[in-house]
Amino acid sequence: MRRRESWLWGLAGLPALLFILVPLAALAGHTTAEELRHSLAQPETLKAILLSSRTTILSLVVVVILGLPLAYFSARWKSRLSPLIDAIADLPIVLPPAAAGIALLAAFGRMGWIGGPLYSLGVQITFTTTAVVIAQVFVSLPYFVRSAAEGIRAVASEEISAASLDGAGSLRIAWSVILPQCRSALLAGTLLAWARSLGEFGATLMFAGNFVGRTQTIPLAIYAGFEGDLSQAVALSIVLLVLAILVLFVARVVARNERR
Amino acid sequence: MLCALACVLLYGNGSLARETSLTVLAAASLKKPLTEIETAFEKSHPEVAVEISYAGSQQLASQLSLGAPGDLFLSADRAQMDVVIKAKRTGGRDVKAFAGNSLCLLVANSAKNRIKVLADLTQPGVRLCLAGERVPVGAYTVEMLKKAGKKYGPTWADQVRQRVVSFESNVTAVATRVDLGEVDAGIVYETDARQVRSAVGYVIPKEFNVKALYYLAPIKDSPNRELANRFASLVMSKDGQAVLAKYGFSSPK
Repeated sequence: MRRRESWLWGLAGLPALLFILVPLAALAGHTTAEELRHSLAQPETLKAILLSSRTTILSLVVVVILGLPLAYFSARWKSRLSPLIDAIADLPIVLPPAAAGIALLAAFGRMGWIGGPLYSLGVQITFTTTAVVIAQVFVSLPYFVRSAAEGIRAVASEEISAASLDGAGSLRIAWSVILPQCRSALLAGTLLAWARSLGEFGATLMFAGNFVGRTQTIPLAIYAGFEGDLSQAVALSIVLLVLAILVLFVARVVARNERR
Repeated sequence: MLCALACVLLYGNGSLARETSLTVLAAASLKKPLTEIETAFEKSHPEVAVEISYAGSQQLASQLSLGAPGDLFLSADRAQMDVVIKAKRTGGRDVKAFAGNSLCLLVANSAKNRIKVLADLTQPGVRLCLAGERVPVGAYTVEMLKKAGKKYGPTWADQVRQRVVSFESNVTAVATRVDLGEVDAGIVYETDARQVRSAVGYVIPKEFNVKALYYLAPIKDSPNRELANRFASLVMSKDGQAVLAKYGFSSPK
C-alpha cells in the first residue's frame, strides 16, 4: 500500500479499533491499583482464578484428545457426507451457550439419557467440577477441530503420497509427516479453544451451577460480583483481559515465527 | 437507509403501535401475578406498552444503581430497595410494601418420601439448592435457618449449608432445579411451590418461618413518573391485591 493509501485505510479502520479499545480501557479505569490488589486477595476471587485455571487446562487436554482424530478425519475424508460432519462439529459455535446448558442437562443430568443410568450407579455429574469441564469441552471443541482440520488440509498431498510410497503406515504419516507441518494451526486452535473455555459462562451456570471453589469459574464470579461486590467483578474482568491479551500476543508471535 | 434499517431492527418490536412504554423491574417471584396486572393495565391504557423485566431483586437493584433506565421497581425485600434508595434512584418516602410471602421447603418428587421436614435436610447424601445470600429469598433463608438452628442445635444450619450444591441468582432458578430433579430440595417462596410440576412444597412451621415483604417504588428520574404511579396504584388497589392473593401472596400487613 502506498503511504497516502495506508493513512486513509487506517483512518477508516479506526472506529472499529476504538469500539473495542474504549470499553476495555474504561474497565481498567473503573478501578485503582489499590482496589485491584485488595479484590484479588479475596479468597473467593482466588478460588475462581484457581478453578478456572484447573478446569480450562483439563478441558484443553480433553479437547485435543477428542478433537484431533475428528479434525484428521474431517480433513482427509472426502465424501458427500463431509459437509454434514463439519456442520455437526461446528454446532456448538452457533448454539447459544444457555441452550448448550439445557442440552447438557438433558443428557448428563440426573434424569438425563446418560446421567440417569450413571445416577443409579451413584454418580452425579451436575454441580461438580466435572460438569464445568464437560461444559467447557462442549463449547470449545469446534474451535480446535476447525483450526486443526484447516491445517491438516493445507498439507500438500504429494508429500503424503510420497511417504506412503515409501511404505509408511497411516498412523506414521499422520504423526511424522502431517502433524509437524501444521503445528501453527494446531497451536492456534488450542489457544482459541482455551480462550473459549476460559470465557464460558451460560452452559456452566446452567449445567454445573454456582458454588465457590467447586463450579464458580471466573465468569460466574464476575456475574456474582455484579450483584454485590462490583470491584471484585471488575478485578476479575481485568484478569481475564490480561490473560486474553497474553494469549493472543503469544499466538501471533508463534504464527509469525512459523511462517519464516 | 442504513439508519432507517437500524431503527427498525432496534425498536421494531410491536411496541411502536403504542406511544409510550413503561419499564417495570420486578422480582422474579412476581411473574405470574404481575403478568396479569400488566394485561389489565394495558387494557385500560391502550397508549402504553408495559415492559417488565424479571430477575433477582439484587440484580435489578445493581442495574438501577449503575444507571439502568426504569420507571418502577418491585423488590422482594427491603434490603434491595435500600440499595436503590442509597443510589438516589428513588426516595425513601415513595416506598410502599404491597405484598407478603413466606418460605416453603420444596422437594423433588424423587425425594419426597425421604425429605418432609427441615430436620431431614441434614441426612447424608441430600443435595440442596438455595438462592445466594444477596438474593432476597436467600437472605430470608439464612434468617429462617438461624431460627431453626435454635431448635436443632448450633451446628445445624452449617450442616444444611454443607449440603448445598449450587447458589442461584433468583428464586425461580432454585424452583426449576428442584422441579427438574437435579437436586433433592430447595427453599423457595410458598407462591413458587404452587407453580412446579414434579415437586412438592412442604410447609415450614411458623416458629421458623419469616414474613417476606415486597416493596415498590417509582424511579425518581423516570420520564413516565405519572404512569409509574398509576401502575403502582393498580398493584396496591383492591383488584391488584386480589390478583396477588390468587397466586398465594399475603397482604403486606
